[in-house]
Amino acid sequence: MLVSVDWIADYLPQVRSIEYLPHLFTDHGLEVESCAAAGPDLAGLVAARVTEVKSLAGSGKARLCSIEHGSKSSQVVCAAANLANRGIYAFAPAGTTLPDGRRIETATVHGQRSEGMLCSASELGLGDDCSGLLRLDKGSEPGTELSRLLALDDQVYDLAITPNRGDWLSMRGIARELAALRKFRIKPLKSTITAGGTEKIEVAIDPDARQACLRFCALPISGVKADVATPLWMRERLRRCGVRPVSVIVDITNYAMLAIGQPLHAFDRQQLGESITVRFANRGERMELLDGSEAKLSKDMLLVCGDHKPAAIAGVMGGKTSGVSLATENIVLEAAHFSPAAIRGKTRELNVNSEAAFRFERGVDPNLPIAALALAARLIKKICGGRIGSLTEVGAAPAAGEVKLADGRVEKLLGFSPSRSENAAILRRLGCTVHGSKPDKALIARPPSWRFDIERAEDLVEEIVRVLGYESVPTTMPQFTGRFLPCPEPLLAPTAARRHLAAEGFFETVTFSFVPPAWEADFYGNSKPLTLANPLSEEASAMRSGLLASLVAGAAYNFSHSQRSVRLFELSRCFPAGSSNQPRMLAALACGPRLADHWDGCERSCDFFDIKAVLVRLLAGCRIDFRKESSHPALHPGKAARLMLGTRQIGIIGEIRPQLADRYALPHPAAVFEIDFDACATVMRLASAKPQSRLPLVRRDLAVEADAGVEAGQLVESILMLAIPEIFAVDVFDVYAGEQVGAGKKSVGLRITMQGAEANLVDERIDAIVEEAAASLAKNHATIRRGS
Amino acid sequence: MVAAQEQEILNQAAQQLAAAEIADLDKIKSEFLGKRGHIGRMLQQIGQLPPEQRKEAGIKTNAVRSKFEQMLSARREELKRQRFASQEHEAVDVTLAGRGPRAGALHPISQVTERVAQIFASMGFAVADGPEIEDDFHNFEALNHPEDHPARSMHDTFYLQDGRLLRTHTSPVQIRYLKSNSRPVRIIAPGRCYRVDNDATHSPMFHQVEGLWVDDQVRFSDLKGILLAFFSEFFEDASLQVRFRPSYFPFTEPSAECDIKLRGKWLEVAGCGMVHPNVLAAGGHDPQLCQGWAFGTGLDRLAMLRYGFGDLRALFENDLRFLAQFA
Repeated sequence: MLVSVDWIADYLPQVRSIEYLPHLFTDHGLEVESCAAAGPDLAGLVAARVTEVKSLAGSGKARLCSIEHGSKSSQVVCAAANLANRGIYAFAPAGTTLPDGRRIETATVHGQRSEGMLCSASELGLGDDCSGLLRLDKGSEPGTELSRLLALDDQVYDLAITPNRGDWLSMRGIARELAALRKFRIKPLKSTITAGGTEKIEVAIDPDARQACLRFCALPISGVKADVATPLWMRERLRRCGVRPVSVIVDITNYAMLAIGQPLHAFDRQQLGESITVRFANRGERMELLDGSEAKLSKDMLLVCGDHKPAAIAGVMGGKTSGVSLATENIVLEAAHFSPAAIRGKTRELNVNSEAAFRFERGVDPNLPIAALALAARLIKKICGGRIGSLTEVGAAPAAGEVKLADGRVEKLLGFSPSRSENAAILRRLGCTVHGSKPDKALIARPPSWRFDIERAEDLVEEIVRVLGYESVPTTMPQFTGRFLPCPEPLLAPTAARRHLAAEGFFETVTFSFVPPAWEADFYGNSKPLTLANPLSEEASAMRSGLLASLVAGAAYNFSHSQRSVRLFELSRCFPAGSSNQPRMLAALACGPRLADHWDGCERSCDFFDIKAVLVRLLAGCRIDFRKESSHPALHPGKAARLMLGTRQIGIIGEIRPQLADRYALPHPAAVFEIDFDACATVMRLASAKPQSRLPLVRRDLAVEADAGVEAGQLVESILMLAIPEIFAVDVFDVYAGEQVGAGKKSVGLRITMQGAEANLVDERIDAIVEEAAASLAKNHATIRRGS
Repeated sequence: MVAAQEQEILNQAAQQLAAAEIADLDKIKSEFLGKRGHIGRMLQQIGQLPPEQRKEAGIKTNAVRSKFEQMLSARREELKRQRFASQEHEAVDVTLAGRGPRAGALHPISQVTERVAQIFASMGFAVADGPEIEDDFHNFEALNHPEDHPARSMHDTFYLQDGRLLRTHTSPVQIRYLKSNSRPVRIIAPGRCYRVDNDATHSPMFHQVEGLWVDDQVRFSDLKGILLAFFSEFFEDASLQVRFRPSYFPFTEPSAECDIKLRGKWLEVAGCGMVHPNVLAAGGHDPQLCQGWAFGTGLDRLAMLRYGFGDLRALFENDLRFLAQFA
């Protein structure tokens, strides 16, 4: 919220002398987002009265005028249409500089000497109105410096007002806070309305609406001139606070709201009628709002109705037909107290912006309506004339409940406490009525009517520390009972997994969890992903069920930025559709030459076996079975596998389908794996270990020819399944397919490592084991033994 | 005769050894010393001699054998010397890169997260975690943000079609952890958060870490102490200045913003405060019996400050040229 120091000074003149005002704001909860001078430097510019206007033949609109400013007089040539004799304008004499840097010099225009320039608001840097000269208010003394006349020696602060402090949303609210902090007193509000007539508006609050509308005041004013210009001083204050001038009556209601915080609404009495009812909307009721939108009303929207027709959505926005226009003569001013609960959510529902609703939903002091009407009526009478009627007031301000602050509570919560009497004094400065409770030394505080956020002892503690500032709280280290942290040894822990993959040459990425729906369809066959109702864009609307597409896109991005080989991984939560789980997934991708730009380089692209090696090293310590997978949407049907940990599938591995790699702009085949990290994080890395035998290892090679479709793993398994105790390991040391073996066949070299159980193995036993292995291979996979 | 035969054997050995490479030596050794080798046979023949000749024959044969062994060992040494001499002439260009992939890197956000977790672990904070798709209850209501409360306007929330939402902060972990754990509760909860916000200084996905300590006596002064100590550790600056400003969060009371002074400027780095009694109650802990504090800070911001880069977007572009710096 923008606040003007000059305006705050209406209520607290001492504000001008507060040093370090920005620090005072910041240290006590009013965050200063920015601070700026109220207007540009207008040194040397003065008010000038036009004393004579002469047409200049043949010069279009330009006219020659004589002006007086103080004891001096000058002549200027001016083409503004709104130039009028006796008018008072802003004059930039020769030798001065305009805010945009333009230097004003005496010039000859249309053959006439022009000794300066009469200026528009935009030329003065006071808003964007460039339609004509800025008219200064009647009564402005010619010759007065503009900066004095417009109170430009003013600072405008942009304060971030937290949602709990509706009472700060006005100049007076800020003045009140500063007064409390600095032990000043603010000027009291005038609440007397001097009625000039007896006209009166009947007001009724529907019984159902009495909780929502606790108080409603209406004041008729007749015979106003609604078409006069809003005085410059008021427009200038509104401008500083970011409010655009509209028309004089609306400007005055806005002014009163900004000044003291009470939203006001002005109705055209001819349109409104003679009586007001406040009630909830009927189902299906509609009305056209001031901003031109057609509102569909719901049953929980409170209406202000004139002669039973909806005239405004209470506390949110007026209706179009009942609003004031330039032709309005008789108005009714409304100032009411609507409860925050009745207003909350309505602007969102109606999709409108409303300064009134913004305040009501944060809480407006229920004691303000009459003071606000008094202020607005006074201004209207002064600026627009008219006769003030008689005030109608229905309902009453509710009383706030008491809050107890137990003895020792401040100390217990903060780690320090001022004395009880200091606490009481602080709360009193903030407007609470405070009394002590003798037996338990507690303080009993009743918050002021403008506070909606003090309901419990903690709220009082916050107020005390807010006024004192947090520097007054000591800085301590806690005394506590220690406790060890759990320290499991899972198969995979995030930090270890990340470090492992980084050491393998992979870079960790962080990509968005919402992706284009096409990614989900292409990589996971997921045509119904979880989607956002309000995505930033269609391209970021589907919650991803896996990370592969993001890695592929990340790789494509890097290839398009001149990388030759890319290895990426990501570890993050994913959101499989149709599952309530949000598992952490870990995926890695390798694409491009194995060793790019290396003197001993390997330009062969990373493939299935490169990524498999990474995965196996990552999951070292557990046995993963690789089961051929030919139907994964993202993976090459002949180069992919499911990863089985026991009976549980923990992920997939393979090369990206060539079509997908092409569609997603990968220049090389890409090898990937993706595992359910959570599934691996709950498995223990190592359950037990046993001492190793000291007997020597013996190795024998066995070469067999098998059908090309038989997997090496099946051959190994058919030896291991014999459960020969001496067999230590079986490794595939060679695979060959080609001319030496028949078509549809391959030759596989198996190395059997053996170790005696209790004594060294003798040749006879070794030969017997190899024979047994060969027989099992022949029986299960129809292999033919090659060589010896 | 015998002597001649012995000399013959040794001559043969000398010839073979002179022509041998190091790999041949074991073969030559078994040719001579093996059971059927030249010297081996002689040793076996000793047994067939009459007893009175055995001693002499034994001495002679053993002399041949030890002579052979000397020659073998001398040749081995000689060959090794030759090999070492030639190996010493080999040389590599030590400036060439080693084989294998170049080092990858953890993402700076992970590095910062680890660092934060490590610092807090040293004070006994466990790491807790929670879902990123949350419900209204955990993200707002239990954290004392009733429906339509203006405080919700501080969060621009992504909603799913099914009414759930993407958590706007890591604070829902407070509720989940409190509900399933007994006091003392001492955790941090790092993770991804989401808000409908996308400009130079806001990413729609960002990272926060939540801290929570609930026990019977945890005070605001301790919160000041812990955050001061934490940021001093994190930035490795024992004289780091920290200040606390009053603020408002629905789930803490009193609430504060925490700023640190870096390179002469105050920077807002954390929101914090004493856990609101409604939040303790929603987490299943009686606010009459316990109290505590919580804070939340942005990990992306901490990464930027720690490593001194100013562009938030760099964190989510995943450009290897940027990431390689963190290897």
